[in-house]
Amino acid sequence: MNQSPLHSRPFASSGRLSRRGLLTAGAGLSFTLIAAPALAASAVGQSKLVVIVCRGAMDGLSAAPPIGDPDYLSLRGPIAIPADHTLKLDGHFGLHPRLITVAALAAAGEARIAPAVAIPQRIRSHFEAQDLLENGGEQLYGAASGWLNRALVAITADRRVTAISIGAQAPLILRGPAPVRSWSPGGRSTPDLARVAAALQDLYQSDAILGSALALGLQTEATAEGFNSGQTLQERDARGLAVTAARFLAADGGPSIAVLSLDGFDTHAAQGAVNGQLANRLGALDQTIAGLKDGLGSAWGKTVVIAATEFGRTAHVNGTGGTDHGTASTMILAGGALKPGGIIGDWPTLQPARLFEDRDLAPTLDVRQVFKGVLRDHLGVEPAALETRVFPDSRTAPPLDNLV
Amino acid sequence: MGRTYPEGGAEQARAVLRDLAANPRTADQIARRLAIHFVADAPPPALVARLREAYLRSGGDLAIVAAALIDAPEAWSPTAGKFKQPYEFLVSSYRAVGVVPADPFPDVIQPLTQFGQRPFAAPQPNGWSDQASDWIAPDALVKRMTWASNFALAHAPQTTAPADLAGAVLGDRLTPPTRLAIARAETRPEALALLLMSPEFQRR
Repeated sequence: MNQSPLHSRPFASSGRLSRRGLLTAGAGLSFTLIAAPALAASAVGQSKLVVIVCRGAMDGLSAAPPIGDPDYLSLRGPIAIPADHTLKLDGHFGLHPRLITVAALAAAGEARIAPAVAIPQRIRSHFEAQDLLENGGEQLYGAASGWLNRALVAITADRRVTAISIGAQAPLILRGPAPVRSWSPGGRSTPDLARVAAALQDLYQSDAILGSALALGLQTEATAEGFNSGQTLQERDARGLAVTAARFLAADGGPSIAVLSLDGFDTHAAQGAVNGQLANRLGALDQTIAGLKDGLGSAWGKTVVIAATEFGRTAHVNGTGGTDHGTASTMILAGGALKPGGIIGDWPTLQPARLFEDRDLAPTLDVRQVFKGVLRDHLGVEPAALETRVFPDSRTAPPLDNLV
Repeated sequence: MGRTYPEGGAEQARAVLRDLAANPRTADQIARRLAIHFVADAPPPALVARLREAYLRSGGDLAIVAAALIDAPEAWSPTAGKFKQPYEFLVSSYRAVGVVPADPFPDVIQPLTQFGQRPFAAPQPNGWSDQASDWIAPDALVKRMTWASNFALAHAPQTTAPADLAGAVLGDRLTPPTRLAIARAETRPEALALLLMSPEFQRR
């Protein structure tokens, strides 16, 4: 891992277990082996995790511009975010002016960035990279299910924890053996529909799959209608969808994990800078995080939000005012359960010699290290399960300490 | 495959394609994919073996493979083995009532998007999933039901009794419980919605 002279963040640069980590790990293991993990469960039972998948490769260098890096402005030209337009993060990184909520949270110690993270393989295809981000494999096609679903399986050995995705279908990150709920706007209950639903539930009684799926779907829809006072949300209403997701999480006996997807980050042309295409998508991301905080209410204090993308974009602006598929990007962490701290991971710098394949921001941190650190310290997933089942063959990407 | 192909323009590509087509693993893959698509998510191994054999014996003639599928008794099982993908559900609904969609966006694109199959937007280069578990998501099923109810309100045929329509559309696959549910429905559109959402109509 590169240590830049600009940033030295020893706590994040190694995967060694802290004393606290060791204690937690040891405690978790012995509880499982000897007795019911009542203590461990009560400590993490109310914890909430939200993962926002930013699809299309979000440009980290615009989300959190490295304003202290001397090469940033010249590499980025017209799409650089001028330092005086950024929102304050620290002396070396700003935040895009549309990330208003994130900036306010960061000022309160409730948001941090990891400025140079990447998936374990160097891939430039959206599909394959999203697969790897979501299936948690060491190799492409290394796993057919999603890592969050396998985390659910690992947790539910001890206690009941459920998950929900916003969208008609569960994305890969949540697919797998553990059943998960999904919800998307557009359902509407009318008296006619209620009669059809009742008749169908009778009709599906002997159908192994349809019966339970419809029952769960109807229950979820009824819950969501309660949250939104019967109003139908628009599919592009990022804040509204996030508020609904958050209310699912905050409800009594609600799920512990939610997944949302935002798309439109593939800015090959006319990316824009302070305003424009990418600015609007970052605005949607900010609104999503703001909606989560609103909807969670007091549960925000027990929440970690992770916004991750499949890969970053080229360090240079291209000929069409955009950027092409790159390597490392920025991950944003937020939530009241987050430990305050500086940037997560090292900054490789944008010096020409440091660029990956002479074109991309080089990764200094494996996305799995962040995911594993959060799953272990926030949701209480056993380290042994993390290494083998949740993220297969991931010993070389140890969980990051001190995130939660 | 351990072979080197000398440069020779388009002929080089044709040689590669010929060898790929003749590879037994291609036969495996095509036989399995056809059986999964047309017969069952977990197709009978004997059927896959017969299709594979037809492919290899005919030198990759897909018409002969298709004929082998048509000849296979497994393909004609009275129990429908496949859950309809959103597109199949939508098209078969329109066909059941003899209506052609009038406006592509509200009549086709919007419902398919809600069911989780936005046209031309398969999440993977290898296309849409052919497995029921990927389509029977709770939310997607509620969306099918909502759409079927509105569709039935707009299109329930005035001239055909719902019970007769059920017989015409489902034939021998119509089960007594579905027949009963349709007969008990309070209104004609409700009866049609139940037909479209019946376990039999949701499968093919």
